[in-house]
Amino acid sequence: MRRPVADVVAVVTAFVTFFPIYWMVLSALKPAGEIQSLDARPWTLAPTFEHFQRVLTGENFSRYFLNSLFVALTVVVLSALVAFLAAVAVTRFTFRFRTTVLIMFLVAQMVPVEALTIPLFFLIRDLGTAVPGVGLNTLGALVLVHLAFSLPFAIWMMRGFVAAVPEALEEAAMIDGAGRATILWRVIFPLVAPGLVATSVFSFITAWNDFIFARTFIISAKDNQTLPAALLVFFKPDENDWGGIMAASTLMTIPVLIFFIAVQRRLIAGLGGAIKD
Amino acid sequence: MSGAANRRRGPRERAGQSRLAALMLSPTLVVLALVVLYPLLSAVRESFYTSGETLDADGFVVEGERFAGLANYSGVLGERFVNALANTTLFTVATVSIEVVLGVLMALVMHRAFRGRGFLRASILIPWAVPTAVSGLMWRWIFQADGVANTIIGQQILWTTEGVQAKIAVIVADTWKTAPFVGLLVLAGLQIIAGEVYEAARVDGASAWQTFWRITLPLVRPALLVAVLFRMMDALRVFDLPYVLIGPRKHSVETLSALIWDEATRVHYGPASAYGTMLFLYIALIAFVFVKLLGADLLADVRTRRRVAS
Repeated sequence: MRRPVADVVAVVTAFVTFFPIYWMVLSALKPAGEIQSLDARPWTLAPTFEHFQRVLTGENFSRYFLNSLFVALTVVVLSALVAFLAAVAVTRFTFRFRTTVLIMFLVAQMVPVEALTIPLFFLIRDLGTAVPGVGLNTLGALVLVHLAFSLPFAIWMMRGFVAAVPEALEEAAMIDGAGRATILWRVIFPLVAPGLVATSVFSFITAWNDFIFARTFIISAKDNQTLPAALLVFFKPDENDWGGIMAASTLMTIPVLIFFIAVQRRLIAGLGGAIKD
Repeated sequence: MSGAANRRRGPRERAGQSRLAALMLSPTLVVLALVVLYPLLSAVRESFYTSGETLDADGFVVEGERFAGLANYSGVLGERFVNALANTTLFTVATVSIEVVLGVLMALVMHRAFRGRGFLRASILIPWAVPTAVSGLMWRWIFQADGVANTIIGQQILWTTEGVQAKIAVIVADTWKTAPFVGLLVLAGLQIIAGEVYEAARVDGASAWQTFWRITLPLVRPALLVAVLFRMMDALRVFDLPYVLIGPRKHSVETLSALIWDEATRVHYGPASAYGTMLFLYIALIAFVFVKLLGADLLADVRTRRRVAS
């Protein structure tokens, strides 16, 4: 692309993609009277935090927020460890059912989650009687389910990162007398750590996005609800509280943004390695 | 531990590898078997059963689960299922193809070196990080009758009511949210194209257009294929965006996942499982055809591919 054309395209693209988010934050900051006014002005002269205040003080929002954060971060850590082990196994070892295992990971990505909510409900209920902490109304149940649904993509991405580690390094370590565990955790793990960080964004978003499972598994323990439930509070039969909805939505977006911007640079550089092959 | 070493060692070493591989895969396999495989199998089984009270041939009340054959699948021929299938397919084809074009464009824009690139990248990629429920609400707010979308285009369209405009609203919102995902994976692919390739093209006098079609696109193809495969599988399962943006049980935007969810919440467990099984088979079929036609190397051993490439 030639420079001036490309510059214009870049600015327009950035503007179009960013505008809806600007509109969301702006609506959260507009005073109640301005929000529903018919001429939608793209600025406000009297920004207010009244909506944010209402959201933060009412209906257990901060509690739900911490619950969501706990679930997402736990899923990120567990998923990184489990996916790392699995990715090393499918890229570095030759064994009989290797391709079958890879296809199974793809198949897990095809399962319509909505069709599984009822069997999952019974599974979690029964599991809860055997293993406390993962039953109905627990955050552990959400962690377990999101871990499962984030693993296939995480392993798929990690495969490339593991393959990018030169095999000569492992052979050198082996000649120096390093055992398998040492090679795994002291040689491969540090080298694929950037890849793990990149992959963790996907797991974080999967868990943070949750809409269905929280509504299915957390039925009576109000304290264990997560953020989507908090969003629904602002829907009223007569008049939706759009200021509150937009403020809550903004708050719900902030953690993903922080996480995302923090790892963004590594994400792009790292994914290059993952896709190389 | 490595492949090269493997060929030098004997069968005992390989048996050791298998055992170690099984050990390292076991956490993944246990979690997937428990949370994905077992519920999937029980949903498939359930799709052939019915429960509740009915009268048997002699007029007695019978209760509990009974084998129902294909009775739960009868709805598959019904108007509602066919409509949901058409909506799902339309959304998938429309969003994934627009996303490929926009995603490649975004990647090219993000790839250029200039001041403020970090800021530009962040603002292009941010929509992908916005939670789906939030983006559904945000677009619902934008698409209100007196919302900013109508103000900008100067029309009075009731976007969130039944009709073609609702489909357009869903496609716009979904494209906005997921084109950055395609852009991200393509950008990653762009970064590993060596600068010399472009240098050579320039020396040979290739136009920008030729460079794009003959060099850039073929070289980012693997990255693009991965992105499209995963996007298709996700798009075919789309549920929360139309649900939040337009609403539940809206004929013009009801997807298969939404239909399944609706049947399940009304305790029509048999039909819900039957539809779920059908959707699963549909996605599997499309993924299979895609991998067969376009990306035979998607499943190949990453190491052998690299050796062939170099």
